[in-house]
Amino acid sequence: MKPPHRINRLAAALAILAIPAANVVAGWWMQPSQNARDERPPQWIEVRKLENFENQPPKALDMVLRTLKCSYGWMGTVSLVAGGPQINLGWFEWSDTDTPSTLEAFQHLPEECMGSSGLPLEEINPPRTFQFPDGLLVFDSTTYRRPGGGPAVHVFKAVWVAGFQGLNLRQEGFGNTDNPVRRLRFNAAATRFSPPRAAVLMASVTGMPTESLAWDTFRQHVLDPESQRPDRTDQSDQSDRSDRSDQSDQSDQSDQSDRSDRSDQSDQSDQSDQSDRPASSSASSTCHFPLSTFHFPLSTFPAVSPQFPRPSLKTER
Amino acid sequence: MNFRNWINLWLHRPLWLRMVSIVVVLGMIALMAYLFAPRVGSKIRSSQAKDDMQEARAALKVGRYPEARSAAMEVLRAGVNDPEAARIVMEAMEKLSDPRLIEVAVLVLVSENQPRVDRLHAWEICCREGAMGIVSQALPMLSEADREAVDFRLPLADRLIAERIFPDALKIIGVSEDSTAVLPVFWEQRLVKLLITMGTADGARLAQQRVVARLALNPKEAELLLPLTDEIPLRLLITEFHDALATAAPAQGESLDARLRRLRAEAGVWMTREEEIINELLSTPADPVTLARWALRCNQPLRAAALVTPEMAAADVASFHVRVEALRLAQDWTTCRATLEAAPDGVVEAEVQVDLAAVAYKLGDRAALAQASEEAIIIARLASETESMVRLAKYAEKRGIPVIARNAWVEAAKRGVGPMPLYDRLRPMVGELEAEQREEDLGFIVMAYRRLEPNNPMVMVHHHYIALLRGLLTPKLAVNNLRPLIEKSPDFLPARMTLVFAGLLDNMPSAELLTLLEDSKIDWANTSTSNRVLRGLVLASAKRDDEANAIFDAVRWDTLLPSERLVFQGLRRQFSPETAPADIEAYMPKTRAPGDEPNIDAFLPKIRRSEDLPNIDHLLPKKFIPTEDQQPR
Repeated sequence: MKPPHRINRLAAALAILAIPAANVVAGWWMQPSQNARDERPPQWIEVRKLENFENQPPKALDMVLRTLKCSYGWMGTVSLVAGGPQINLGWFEWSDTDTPSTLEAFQHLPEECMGSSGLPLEEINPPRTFQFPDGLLVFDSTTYRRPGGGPAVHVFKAVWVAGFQGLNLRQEGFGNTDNPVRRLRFNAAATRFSPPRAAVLMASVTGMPTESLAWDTFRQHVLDPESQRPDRTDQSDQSDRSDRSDQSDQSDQSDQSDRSDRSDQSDQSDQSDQSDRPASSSASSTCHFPLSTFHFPLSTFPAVSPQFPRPSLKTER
Repeated sequence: MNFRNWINLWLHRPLWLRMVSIVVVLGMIALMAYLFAPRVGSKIRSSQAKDDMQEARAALKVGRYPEARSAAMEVLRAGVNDPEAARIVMEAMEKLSDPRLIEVAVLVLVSENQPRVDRLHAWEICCREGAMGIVSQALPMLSEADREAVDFRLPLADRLIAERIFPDALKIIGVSEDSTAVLPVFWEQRLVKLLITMGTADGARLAQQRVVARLALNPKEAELLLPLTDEIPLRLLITEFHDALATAAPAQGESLDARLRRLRAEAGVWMTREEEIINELLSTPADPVTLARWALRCNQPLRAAALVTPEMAAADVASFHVRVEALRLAQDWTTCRATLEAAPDGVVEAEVQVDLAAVAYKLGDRAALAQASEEAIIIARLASETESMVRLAKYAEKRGIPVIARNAWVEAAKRGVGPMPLYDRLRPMVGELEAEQREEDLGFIVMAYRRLEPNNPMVMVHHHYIALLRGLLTPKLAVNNLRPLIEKSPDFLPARMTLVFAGLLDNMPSAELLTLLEDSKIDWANTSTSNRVLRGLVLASAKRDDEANAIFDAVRWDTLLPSERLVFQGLRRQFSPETAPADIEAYMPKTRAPGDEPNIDAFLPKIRRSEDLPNIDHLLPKKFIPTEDQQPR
């Protein structure tokens, strides 16, 4: 029979070791992988390539960026027809900021903030996907209309988080707004969600008759503007763009080819996309711009806000 | 017993008794409030309303219209249905050119407890300042007695004549083919005015014959009709009119106007002595402006211009108008411009700019034309009168500057107030806006008219088409609204094609869309580009790509509205993603090169409006049977 004090010593040693071990495990759990940490949000949209693009005045942009606590962003409008349809764009990044600031990207769903800016939700549409060379984006799609009539506003919003692919704002686990903060924290802990970087691309297409036409316009004029230009001379560029265009066509072929099966196919493609992706944590989207701030007179403000200077829009890798 | 004793007494009661007492007291207070609060509130409100009414009356009496309006509106807001308050609000708004005037006038008009005199006043306001669409909606709201009453029919007849809706004006005047009764003079005045406003030789002849008949019947009443005949062109005057004037002229003491009118009639019918008679007319001792006006009526613009000196024109509004008209008719554009630039105070500035634009057009001065066109709109926009834009548009049409007229009509539609004409009257202008691809302005027009003429099917169809294009209307709602219209009028092509468009957006089955097209009996070779593209889209949705592509390749996409190109291209990509080109730029209009400006002739009127002219033969007075020598010489 062993003396009891030896057991006590082992227990004490284990107890002492457990503290650093727990620290190590917690550290491993809480810190994201190095790959994810180094991953930067791809700059999918190059504003200088967009036609008829007007930046939001810097003052309004600064206000929005401060409110959202993001590190960089731009907002602007692509006019499609004078006095007619237009696309309001917003790009927001949270890079190398603290986690709560990063989580601004998932604060709430679009209908919450659009509703608070006076645009009631008319319809939640099946999500849209777009395959960039850098990755897949899933756009949450909603339609709004001002009470008493007005042009339909189709909002497409995609969230990118370092380490995740094809995040869908409305998938299971995301968008539960019963107690958003608690849910978000729980999911953050459970899924080791500590992204160092996040980005949101949000577009509101105003004045198009249907959501599918609004998406088509958004895709043609913003996501893949190169596909419209017949006067391309750079062959290497051409092949790159045609690849992109093919990919994008494939990605939303289900949306475009057959209208009657559109929603079903979108749902299916969305589910299949999500099945082989890492589990994402709970999140919802961010209200980036109340509609009232869109209607600024045409101006030629610089693309980059003076408050958040950045040498070029292309991220250096 | 002091206060402390009362407290002690209360505290020494049992708790339940204290609770019951509190509940009973509160209950009694609630009961009292329930029973008496409405009455007390009503008393307080009526007392306040009484004060407000006194204030409104006093303010209206001394011309403080804003105070009168707000005090009377307070009374109405308090829920006191006081006819006098409504009247004061209406009168104050009328004086202040308040844009809400028509709404208040319509409310007064349909209010049963409003006195008749107020309803009549409201109706006069509607007819004078309301859009024709509102007038036509308000007319059925009048009681049968009011609709038949002469004083209610008079303002409506005036408006219908001003809007050149002659058949309806004749009905309101009450002239029928079998009526032999002599019209009262006030109706005769309207009838003569209508005949002259028609601007035809027949109308002018009939107007003169009716005046002659009235001269024979009652010379005193005919005095009221004679000034109207001064607007009849010299060459349309007839012998019997001159003879009647000569017969009616007294040997001595003929008034100046009567003498000038008789001489003009003589010059009109006696062509060989025309110059001599006009000389005699212009040598009559009279005010130079009056003489110049008669010189204009005798087609003597140069002599009219000589009678009114530039100094007179720069000092007096009447002289200014006569001189400008004289120089315009004399085609002395340089002098006309100088006169216009020295316009006296009191002229309508926007109309001066229209005249300046007309002069600039004649002189080929493109920059001045553009500047005056812009200035006219800016000035009219700043004017406080609700009808300033409509007035400008009509003046620009009269002067033949449709570019200003179009812009003014668009601005008037944006304002949504003022005496807007019926939509049918603006249809040619809407066509011109479409040709110029001004879809935003088209939107303003159709949105405004959807409110003004909600029962007009053409307005509904145009509105639905533009609203669908711009995402203002859900396709489902458009389909629901248009289906009954198609069932009622299967041959109404615009409605059918708008339904096809809505169906394409609403995922209507291809078979149904094809049926809609096949039933339409359209000559596809001669229909509009939009209709042909819609047909192509229907064929593409039915997977008949070859036929669809043949149509798409044949149409001129640059003639479509920008939104049409955007939407139709999107639909084409949806239906046939393999064949639809992604390049939307190919369909957009080419950027205009610097210096490649539109021809100045673009400012010329393109479409001449033709009114619905009624049959007027029965208006001939029964005792006059036209003979050869009574025709214009």
